[in-house]
Amino acid sequence: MPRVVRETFVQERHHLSIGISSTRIESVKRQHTRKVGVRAYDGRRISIAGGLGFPDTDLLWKNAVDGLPDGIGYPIVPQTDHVESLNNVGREFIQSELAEEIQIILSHFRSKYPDLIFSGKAHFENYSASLKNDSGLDLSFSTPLFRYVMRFKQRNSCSIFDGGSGTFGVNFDRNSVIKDLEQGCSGYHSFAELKKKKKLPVVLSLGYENFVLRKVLENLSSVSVFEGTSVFSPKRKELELSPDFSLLQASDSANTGFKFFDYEGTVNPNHSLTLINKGKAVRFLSDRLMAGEYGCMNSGSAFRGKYDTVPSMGLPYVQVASTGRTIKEITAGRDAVLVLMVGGGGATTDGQISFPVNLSYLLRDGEVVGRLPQINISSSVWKMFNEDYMGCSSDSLLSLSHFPAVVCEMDVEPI
Amino acid sequence: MYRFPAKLYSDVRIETRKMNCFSWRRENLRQSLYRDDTTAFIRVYDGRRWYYSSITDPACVQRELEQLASMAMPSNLRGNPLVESFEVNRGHYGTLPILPDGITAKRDVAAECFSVVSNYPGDLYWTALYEDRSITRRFISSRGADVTVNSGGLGIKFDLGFCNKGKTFNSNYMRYSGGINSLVVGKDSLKDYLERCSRFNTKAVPLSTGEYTVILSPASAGIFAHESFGHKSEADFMIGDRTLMREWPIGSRVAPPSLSIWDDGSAPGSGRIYIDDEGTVCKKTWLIRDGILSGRLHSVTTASHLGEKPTGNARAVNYRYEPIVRMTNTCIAPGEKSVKDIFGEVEDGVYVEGLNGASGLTRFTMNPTLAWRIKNGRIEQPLRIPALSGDMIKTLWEIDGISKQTEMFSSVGSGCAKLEQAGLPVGYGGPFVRVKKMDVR
Repeated sequence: MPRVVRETFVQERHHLSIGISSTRIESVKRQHTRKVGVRAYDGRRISIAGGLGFPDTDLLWKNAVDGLPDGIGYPIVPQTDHVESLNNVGREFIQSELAEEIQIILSHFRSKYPDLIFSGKAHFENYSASLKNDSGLDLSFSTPLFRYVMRFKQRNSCSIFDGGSGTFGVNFDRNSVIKDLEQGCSGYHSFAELKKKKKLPVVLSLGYENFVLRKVLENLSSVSVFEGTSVFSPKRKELELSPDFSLLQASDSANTGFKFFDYEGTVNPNHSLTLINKGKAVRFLSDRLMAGEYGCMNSGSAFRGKYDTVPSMGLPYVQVASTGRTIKEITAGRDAVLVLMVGGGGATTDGQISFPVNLSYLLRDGEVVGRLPQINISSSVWKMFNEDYMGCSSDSLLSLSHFPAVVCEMDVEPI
Repeated sequence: MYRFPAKLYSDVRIETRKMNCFSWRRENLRQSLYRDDTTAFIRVYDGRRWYYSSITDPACVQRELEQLASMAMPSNLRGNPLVESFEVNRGHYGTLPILPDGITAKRDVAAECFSVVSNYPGDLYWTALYEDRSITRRFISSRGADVTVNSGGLGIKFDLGFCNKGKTFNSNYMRYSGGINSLVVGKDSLKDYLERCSRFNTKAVPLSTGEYTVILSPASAGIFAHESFGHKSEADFMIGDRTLMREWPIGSRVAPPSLSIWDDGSAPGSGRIYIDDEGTVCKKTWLIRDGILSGRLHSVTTASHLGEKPTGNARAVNYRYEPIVRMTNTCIAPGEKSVKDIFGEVEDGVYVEGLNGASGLTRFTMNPTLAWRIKNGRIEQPLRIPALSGDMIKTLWEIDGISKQTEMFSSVGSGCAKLEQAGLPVGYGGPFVRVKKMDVR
């Protein structure tokens, strides 16, 4: 009878969210969720049982161990002998204070932009996660988190939304939220022109860069690489991107509030791993099982999973390596498009992308000239990060958290 | 059952969800999940704000009611239009689905198709999913409502990755039903689908951007209705917005007379919920009838703000969220043309057979998977198209052909996303719909 390794994953959230409608607080929600998953490994299979709240762990263990004969094939030794703990410290809030903070922000926007109606949500959370087993794995992480999404529309507009903003991070700061939201509103009332289709530098940040990076990550998945469907596959002519383009899988826990380990307990040195180095793919996304199956290195990317499911490879949080210049320096001397709100969009399997942009501003020398009409931007992802790649900024559009901007030339066309 | 706090409106939603989920990478089982959770969502309203709590232990409902009440400002709510708008229903609605008996039988529902995909002669990477759900929701309110609602269903999904001489194409094949007795897995249609996808992958060419006549398949038309008009019909976007109210008066003509769109949470499909998450009985709501704007989708809050009736469209994706206005099963009603005429009357256009996703508010975007050029009424060259887009209202006016034949579909393993709530099961469908001009981007 092989030794059964026992592992426990616990995730807990204390959450408070404030709903906003017509620039006023509409609702307050509190939430406490605790999720427990226990995993039994026998060297050949894995079996998992889970429960919400404070379940009977003896019963969970019994279910997990009893389920091993009918478990999932998992001929991998689980992570062992790693002890690490990281606790982000942030400002403590009490419920009434939070509502007061949001009231102040809303009052500011009500008086400064009386022709705009704001709606959205602000979330405050204390999050913790731990993964421990009886083979020496003991990982724990805790953090405060703040995130918000705020949309606005002009009172006389027939659109459902005209613009918006949102971000997340470890620390809440009222003035930073106001400053970041102002960015979307301040240029809204002046207008810039774009008369015909042009190739222009496009500044992608605020999460919109992930729309295109997602395509890169899908191609870095070891499944698509080793099954031959990726542009980076050795079965095909391996694609090289711009030598200025490097991509890292990084938790950046202190800035993002993401935990530094994946669901299998893999911890990369310095919580970071280079996937693309100077345009060349050097590591592929995998979990421990996939790495064994395809004979590649484990990248610690078991990010798909829930407390009670078998962990598997999922798309990680990534950072484009900074090319050392500010947005102003990257776009120097050229008009550029700052994307603030997209309305959907699509991509073909081979990387052609296209998306309508509801709100964008024309930038000149890094300064907002005015609001562009509705535009569509399109390109090939592989051109964007090759001959059309201009750089990743050293500065951030946001003051609440540091998320740089990716700048690429793309086809920009008025709708 | 509960001591509801005085001078406040309160309700409690208790959900018991049982679900089984299996997934495979090729024939290898990679996920085997069984969940059986009972959770609760509690709401308190004081006439000014809502106070919510979401908990994983229903034994704590009374404590949460009291804590939320302590945050609220009790007031006399007698005659409050919002509170008066709540339906006070009692009793049992719906039935739990009949599911395969035991783990092996469940796995076999998907596994019976494995021979089709594994023996496929081309270079194909595939994963498979089986999922079933049985959901019991109990809704109890301080006004006296006490309803128990059963619902659920099961489905399979194959994600397919084709690779041939450096050309790649991803697509999926899904089947859903409200019970095992009515589930049609369709081995032959899967085989046929694999062949079409394979031909598509090797032969598809890009299409120049521009305006084209587009024919939407019933599945694509259903998604178009959902994205282009359904979301715009959700009345929460109209609260406090006089401009939108002026622009969208009930009774105005918004489309050609041939177009009708409805939403119905009591109709078959994965959006069948019978009673919404505020205790309102679901009914068929005509959003557009014969081209006339005929209705909107409402929760109690939006209905009371707009002076209309709740429609049974307040839904929460799970216990963690408050109900917001959502679609259920949304469908374009049949027209009068034959499918042959819909295609036969097109000299040069595009046929969109499948979509990989879509989004939309004022402008909509749809991402085709399988798309084909139509020449002189015949389906010809396969096309790779990143996105179709358009202004929703203008596009409705461009509809010039609707078939008699319709079909309903349901999502498996995914669903509708709105604001922070993603993955809500919805049904969608309709006839073949021809649009004179749509932007191909």
